[in-house]
Amino acid sequence: MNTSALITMATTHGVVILLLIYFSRKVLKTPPKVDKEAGKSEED
Amino acid sequence: MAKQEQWGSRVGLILAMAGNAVGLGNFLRFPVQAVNNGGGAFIIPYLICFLLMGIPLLWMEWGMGRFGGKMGNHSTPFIFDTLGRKKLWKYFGVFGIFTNIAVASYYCYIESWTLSYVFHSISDTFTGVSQADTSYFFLRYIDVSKSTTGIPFEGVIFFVICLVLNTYILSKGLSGVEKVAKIGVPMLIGFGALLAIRGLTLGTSAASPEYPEANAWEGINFLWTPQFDSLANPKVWLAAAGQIFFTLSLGMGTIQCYASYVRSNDDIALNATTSGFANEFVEVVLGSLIVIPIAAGYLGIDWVLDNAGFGMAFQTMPFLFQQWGLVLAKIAGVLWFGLLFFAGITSSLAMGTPWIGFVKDEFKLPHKVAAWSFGLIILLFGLPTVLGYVSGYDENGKISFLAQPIFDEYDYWAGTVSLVVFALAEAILFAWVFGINKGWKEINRGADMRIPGIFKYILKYITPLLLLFVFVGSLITPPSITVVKADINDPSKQEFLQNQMQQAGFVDIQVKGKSVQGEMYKNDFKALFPGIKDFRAWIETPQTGLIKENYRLNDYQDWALEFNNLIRGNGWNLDNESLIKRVMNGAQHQRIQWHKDAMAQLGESREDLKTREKHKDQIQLIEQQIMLANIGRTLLVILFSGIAFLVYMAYLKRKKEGRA
Repeated sequence: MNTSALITMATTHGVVILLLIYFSRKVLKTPPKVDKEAGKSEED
Repeated sequence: MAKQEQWGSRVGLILAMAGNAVGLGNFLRFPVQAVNNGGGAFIIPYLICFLLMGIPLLWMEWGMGRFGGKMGNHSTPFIFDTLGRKKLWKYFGVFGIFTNIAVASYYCYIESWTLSYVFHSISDTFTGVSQADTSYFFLRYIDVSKSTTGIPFEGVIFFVICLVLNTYILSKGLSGVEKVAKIGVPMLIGFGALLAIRGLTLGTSAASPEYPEANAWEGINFLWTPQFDSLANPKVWLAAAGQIFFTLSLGMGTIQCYASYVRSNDDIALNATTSGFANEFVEVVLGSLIVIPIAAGYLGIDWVLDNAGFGMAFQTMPFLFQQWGLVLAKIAGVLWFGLLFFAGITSSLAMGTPWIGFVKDEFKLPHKVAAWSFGLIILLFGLPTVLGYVSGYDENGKISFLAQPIFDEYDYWAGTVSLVVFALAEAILFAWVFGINKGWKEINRGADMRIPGIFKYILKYITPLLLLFVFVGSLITPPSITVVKADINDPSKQEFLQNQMQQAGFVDIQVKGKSVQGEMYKNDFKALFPGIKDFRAWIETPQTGLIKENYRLNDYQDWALEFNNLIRGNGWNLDNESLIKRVMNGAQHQRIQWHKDAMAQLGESREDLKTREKHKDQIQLIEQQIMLANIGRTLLVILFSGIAFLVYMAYLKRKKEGRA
C-alpha cells in the first residue's frame, strides 16, 4: 500500500468512525423526552 | 382522537432509517463509482457533497416528515400540501410514492438474487466451478427460460418469495420494520466487518500463476490514492453528488414517511445525523474494503478496472470465495449474500411505507390490506423487469448477450432522474415557499444537538444550487473525453509515443516537459481499446519504455468547449448518457447506424454474407431493446398518472370533508 493512499484511507475511515461513535454516544446518553400523549389508546 | 402509530424506540428509529439508507449500493455502487471516477480523487467531492447536500437534505426531509405527521399526513403528496400554499405542490409529492413503487419493482428482484445466491452458496452450486462458469451462471439465472438448478423459472420464484416476505413484514406495521432493522443492520455490519478484515489482510497471498501480479493492496491503492487534478472535473462532482443521493435514499419520500411517525417534540437533528453517519460507515469503511480489494487480490487491479460493475458481486465473488476452501467458501457466500440481502430488505421495506401511509390516511384502508395492495402492485410492475430481457445466443446455444431494458428504464427514470427532480422541488418548497426561518425552527425543535447556524444558509442557497447543477448536468451532459497522460524522460521515446498517438487518432496531443498528453472521445477510445489490457499492451512497449506507474487515464467532460460552441452557433454536443439523448434512445440508434454503415461496406462473398447476417441479428436485438425500453417507460407513465389520479381523488375527498 502506498503512503498517500494509506494516509487518505486512515484519515477518512478515522473521521467517519469517530463521528459515528460521537453521535451514537450522544444518542444513547440523552434521556428520552416525556411522552405527553402517553396513556391514550395504542392503535387506530 | 386515537393515538397514531409511532416508533417503539429511538434506537429502532435510527436503525430503521440507517437500514433504509444502507442498501446494495453501499457495497456495489460506491466502489465502482470510485473506480470509474479517478479512485482517490472521488472521495473529496463525495465528502464535500455529503456535508453540503447530504446532511442538510437529511435534516430537511426529517423536518418535513415530522411536520406533516403532526397534521396526520404520512406520505409526501399531503406533506407537501401542508408546507406549500399552492395546490400544485401535492402533485410534486406524487414522486415520493411513484419512485418507491418503481424502484421497489426492480429492487425486490435484485434482492431476490441475493436470496437465491445464499441458497446456492449453501447447496455448493459453485464448488469446483471455474470463473467463466460462475459468471455464466448469473446470465442463466437472468435468462429465466434457462434453469440453473432444475427449478423452472427460478428467477420468478425467488422474486415472488422475496416479495411475499417483504409484504408480510410490512403487514406487521412499524413494529415489524423496526424488528427487522434491529436484527438486520447489526448483522450486515458484522458480516461486512468480517469480509472487510479479509479484504484488508489479503495482500499478495492470493496471487496465482494465472494472475501473478494480483495484490489486494493495489485495489486499496487505486481507491485511496488522491488525484487532486480530478477535482476540477465536473464529471467527478456529478458522480459524487449522485452517489450521495443514492446512498442516503434522498429524494425518495421514504425519510419523510418514516419521520412522520416521530413524535412532534422528539429530536430529529441528532437522529438524522447519526443515521447518516451510520450509512457512511457502511459505505466508506466497509464498502471500500470488500469487493475491490478481494477481487484485486485474486485477479489483479487490471482485471478490476476492466470489469468493475454491479455484476462483480454475483459473477465474481462466488468464484473468489471458492479459493478459501469448501467450508470457508460456504460461510463467506452466506456472509456476503446475507449482508446484501439484509441491506436490500431494510431498504425495500422503507419503500413500501409511503404507499401504505397514503392509502391508510386518505382511503382509510386497514393496515394489512394496504400492505398486501403494495405487494400486488410490485408484482404487477416488477414482473416486467424479470421477464423483459433480451438475450442473444452463439452457435452452441450459449448466451452471448443479455440486456434488461425495462429494469434499466425503471432504474434510470425512477432511481436516478426522479430523485433529483423531487429533491430540487422539495428544497425549493422547504427553503423558499415554507420559508427557511420556519423550516430552521422546525428542524431545531426538540433537537438534542446544536446545528451550526451556517447550515441555514447552506439549506437556502447552496443545497438548491447543487441540486440544480446535478439536474442540469444530467440533462445536457457533454460527451465524455478520455485523456491519456504519460511521463517519459527520453525525448526519442516521447516522440515515438506522440507519433503512435497521432496514428491511433488521438487529438490535442501536447508535449510539456517530460509529459506527453493526448485525448479522444470516450466512445472512440472504448472502440479502439475494448479492455484495459488492450490499452496496456498498446502503451507498455519497449519503444515507449512505459510501465503502469508512469501513465494515467482520466475522463472529463468539456463544458467550456460546449459553451463556446453554443455561443458561436455550433450547437451543443450531448453524451449518450445525457437525459435528452436517453429519451431519444441515442446510444441504441448510434449502434444501429454503426451496423448499417458496416453492412454497406460489405460485398457479396460468402464470408461477407455471413457477416451481414450477424449485423442484422445485432440490429434486431437492439430494436428489441428499444421496444422493451418503450414498454418500461409506458408502464412508468401509467404508474405516475395512476398515483396522481388517486391524489386528486383524495383531494376531492378532503374537500368534501372540509379538510382541504
